[in-house]
Amino acid sequence: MNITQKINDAPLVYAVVPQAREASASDMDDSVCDPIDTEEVYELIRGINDPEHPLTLEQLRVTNREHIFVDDGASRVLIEFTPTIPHCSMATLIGLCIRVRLLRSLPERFKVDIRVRLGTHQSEDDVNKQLNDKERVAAALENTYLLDVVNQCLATAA
Amino acid sequence: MARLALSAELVGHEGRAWQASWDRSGEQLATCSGDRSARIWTPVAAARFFSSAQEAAVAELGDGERRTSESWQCIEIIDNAHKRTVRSVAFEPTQGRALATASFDGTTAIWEKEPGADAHECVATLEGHENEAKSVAWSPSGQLLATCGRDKSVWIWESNGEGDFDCISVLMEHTQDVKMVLWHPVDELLASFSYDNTIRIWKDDGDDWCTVATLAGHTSTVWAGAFSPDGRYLASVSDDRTLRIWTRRPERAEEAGGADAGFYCQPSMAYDCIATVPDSAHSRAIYSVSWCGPADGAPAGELGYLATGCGDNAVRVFKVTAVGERLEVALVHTQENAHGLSDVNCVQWNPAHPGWLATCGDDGTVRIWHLES
Repeated sequence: MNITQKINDAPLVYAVVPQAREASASDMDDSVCDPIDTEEVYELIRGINDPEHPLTLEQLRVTNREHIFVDDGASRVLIEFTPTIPHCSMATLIGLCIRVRLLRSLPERFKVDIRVRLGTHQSEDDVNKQLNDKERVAAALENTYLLDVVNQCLATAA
Repeated sequence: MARLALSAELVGHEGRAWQASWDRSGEQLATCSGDRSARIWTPVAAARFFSSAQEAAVAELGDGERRTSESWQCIEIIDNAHKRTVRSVAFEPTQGRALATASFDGTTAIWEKEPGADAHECVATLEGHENEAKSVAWSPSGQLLATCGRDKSVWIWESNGEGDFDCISVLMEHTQDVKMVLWHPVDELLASFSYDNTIRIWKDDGDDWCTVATLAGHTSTVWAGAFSPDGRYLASVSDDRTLRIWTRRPERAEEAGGADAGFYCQPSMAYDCIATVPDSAHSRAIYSVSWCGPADGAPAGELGYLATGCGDNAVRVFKVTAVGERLEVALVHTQENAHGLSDVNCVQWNPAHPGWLATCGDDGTVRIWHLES
């Protein structure tokens, strides 16, 4: 990683609020297939490390529960993430980390769309287009250097 | 209404299947994959396969081991040339003895099979793209090859008659990643489809290849295109979920030629978009389109069928009819989950056996279908 000037030297760090959820009867029943929901997707991505700081995307409020939309029946997930600053050049990398995490964890049937939250990045259209081009993503993940960087960010996510 | 009957399934690729290409006889199919290989498949008994409308007992998805249908076999696996995904494969159109593969490793390999040999040998490796090569296409004469890639360029290569190719032009006019190149079936024109949302038509004006038309209208990446068999129309599909059909505006007498025509290449052709299938028809990006001509003896005005392969897992078939100056494009069949719950990456009508369609998907399989009315 580049050890000189960081893109965002002083990010705001937020306290993590644990969210308790009561277990329901159907949660305990093995024969009932639990639909994938917002909470499960959030659990998968909240712990992804920021590429620049030893902080998670949750602590930086890059990922937020309210910006995850899951339709289990239609097998669709939409994630909007918020870069810490509008000219963040790490935005594409962060989006790629989210995509890889979900690619490896969600059932194959899911179509995942990842977008920068509207109005939070100066090149959001460019970033969104790259992140949602599956050929570009496939080629990027054949780049071993880039894959190493992504894997480092994902090391803390599990 | 029509339907697509599944006739065979070809299993073997270990990664997503990106593209399928029929040879001229329609009796060999080449496919390529993220597993870095290309494979060649053929029906065990071609005449029998294409003459009878059969529906194979294809194993239900999730049903343990899946195997290639008994009516087909994989006759060759080409896996020793590319170090990354093989993204595009194309049979040489005049004799079918040669094959080209384009890879994310930036190279395009040319393979030839001597008569009597049972495997192709790599006779040339075309280098030059700065990063991923995404498409390779042979001109109908077999003398020219076009490639394109993420470096925004389109390269034109000419056969030197000895199996190798010389680069004759590097075209850098797209402003983004070029996804596909395609030759016109009749005239020596090349079409390219790009992440910059446009389609460009290129021609050799005597001095060099240059853009003679830029087709703008799509609002996102144009993934693929297909000419009608007579070359009058061009269909294109996009990440914007629309299918568009374009035709060349007739040249007015005073625009054709001109004393200074050779100085620099001017846009000398214009294309109009004469039909659009709106984004309500496909619910995700459309990755591929193929045009099957009308049956022999079909009434005038019938222009054949378009097939599309979509990220919503469906293959769709549209019937195209000319009504006066306009084109009507009517959806006649939707094959949901054509490759299970996986994107369909490529659809290709068989050039010699009308109504037969090859499709390939993110599930790594290749499927052969027959269109029945």
